[in-house]
Amino acid sequence: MRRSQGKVESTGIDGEGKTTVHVRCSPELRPDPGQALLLLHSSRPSSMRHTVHPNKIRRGGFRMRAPDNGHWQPGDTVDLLGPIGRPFRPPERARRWLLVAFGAPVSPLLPLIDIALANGADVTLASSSRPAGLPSDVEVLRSPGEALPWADYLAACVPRKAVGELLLQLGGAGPSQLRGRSEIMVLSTLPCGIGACGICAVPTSDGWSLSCQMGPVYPLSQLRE
Amino acid sequence: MNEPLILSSGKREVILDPPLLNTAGFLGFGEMAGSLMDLRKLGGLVTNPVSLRPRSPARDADVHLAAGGYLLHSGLPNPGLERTLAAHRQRWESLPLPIILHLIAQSADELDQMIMRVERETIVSAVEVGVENLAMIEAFAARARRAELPVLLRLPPEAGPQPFLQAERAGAPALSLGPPRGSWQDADGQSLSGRYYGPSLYPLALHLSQTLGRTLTIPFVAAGGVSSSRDWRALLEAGASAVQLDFPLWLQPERVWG
Repeated sequence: MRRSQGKVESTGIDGEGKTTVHVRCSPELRPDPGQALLLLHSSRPSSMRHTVHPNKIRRGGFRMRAPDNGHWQPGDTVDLLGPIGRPFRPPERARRWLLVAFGAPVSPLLPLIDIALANGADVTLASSSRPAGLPSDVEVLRSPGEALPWADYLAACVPRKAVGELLLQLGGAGPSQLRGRSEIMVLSTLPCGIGACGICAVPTSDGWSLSCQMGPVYPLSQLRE
Repeated sequence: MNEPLILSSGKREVILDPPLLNTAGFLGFGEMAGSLMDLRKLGGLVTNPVSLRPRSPARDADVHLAAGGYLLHSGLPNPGLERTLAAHRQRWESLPLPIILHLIAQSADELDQMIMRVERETIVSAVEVGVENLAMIEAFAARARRAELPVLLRLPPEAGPQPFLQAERAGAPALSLGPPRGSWQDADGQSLSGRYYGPSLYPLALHLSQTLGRTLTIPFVAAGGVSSSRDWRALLEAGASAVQLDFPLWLQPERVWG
């Protein structure tokens, strides 16, 4: 984990009317899909860093939805701490990726779509709506059920409080062809990022686990209600 | 330059130089604290709260960010005293500052067991005991007085100076200010109770420290909302013997050193 400055390169508005921010940062701060960054705007005092999951990751930095309602403009500097935690690790030979946003925003899963398509994999996204700008190759379903038998890799993101419900929907370990090939990103605020505060604790097969250290991406088989 | 805090039990002594510590819960057990800051800027490391037996995280653990700070509700998860000592003893030996183990006990008997156990650990320089139930002040103070290693009794600030004065009369050797408890309710009626941290606490912490500085004769460690070196210097001038830092350690710790 490192701490360094990043700089806002540009801003925009996404399909839902929210501000997006492109940040340039050094390579060691650039997260992998699933990892978080803890961010502070250098000119706006805050008691706590914002937990950020980029929705696009590029060589020079990343794009995120603005984490606060303040004004963002090119040239703003941000204080970055991270990358935090364990990223998604899709199997190399997976060719049918099912991404599921379960009661959660789709944005943390979007960087996986870039990787899947670059690898020639087919992608289906289960989400309540189709995000603006999604490649036309990606099929969107309201519910993952019908795509589960098709998939050979499952990546989901879920708020911590909804993990039990997701496990129920997936029937525990999920279809047999997805055993060992399913990863769940548990979303929670990460106040400290160093395993001190205990707020991000998640129950697993090995007892409770701090998401900022051993997650936020967990093999499905490890999660417990 | 600020005087170090010397905590003594009569049998063992620890020198906290500079007189700056972290608040329990903000640097864990020291595992990754060094990645946030230069630990030599602190005079001691206060560990996360440790109970006699293991505690799991609260099922509804959460944080609420408000305008002047935030509420944290974690359930104080920890592996229990024995496992904590076993897991971290070696690491603590490599850290460049004294270790103050923060203990949480449900009863005087439990506190007694824990202090007796910790007294056998030479790597632990002092103990801070969190007092949540004010009815336990006298019993905890009496136990702290008999301890072989230095003990800080941490009291909540909500009830003002009286509990601190009561603890001193009961023989507490040294005191520290804990974070206040607060509550929040969201639009769906979901409520959260926890400890509150943030810059909005500073005026309350300074006011209480000024009163304690005039009335206590034993050392006390101030805490609450410190954002800058000016803040902690003012607390020391008010009579505190040391100051604990919390929320800035997760932000930009260098802004507090001064």
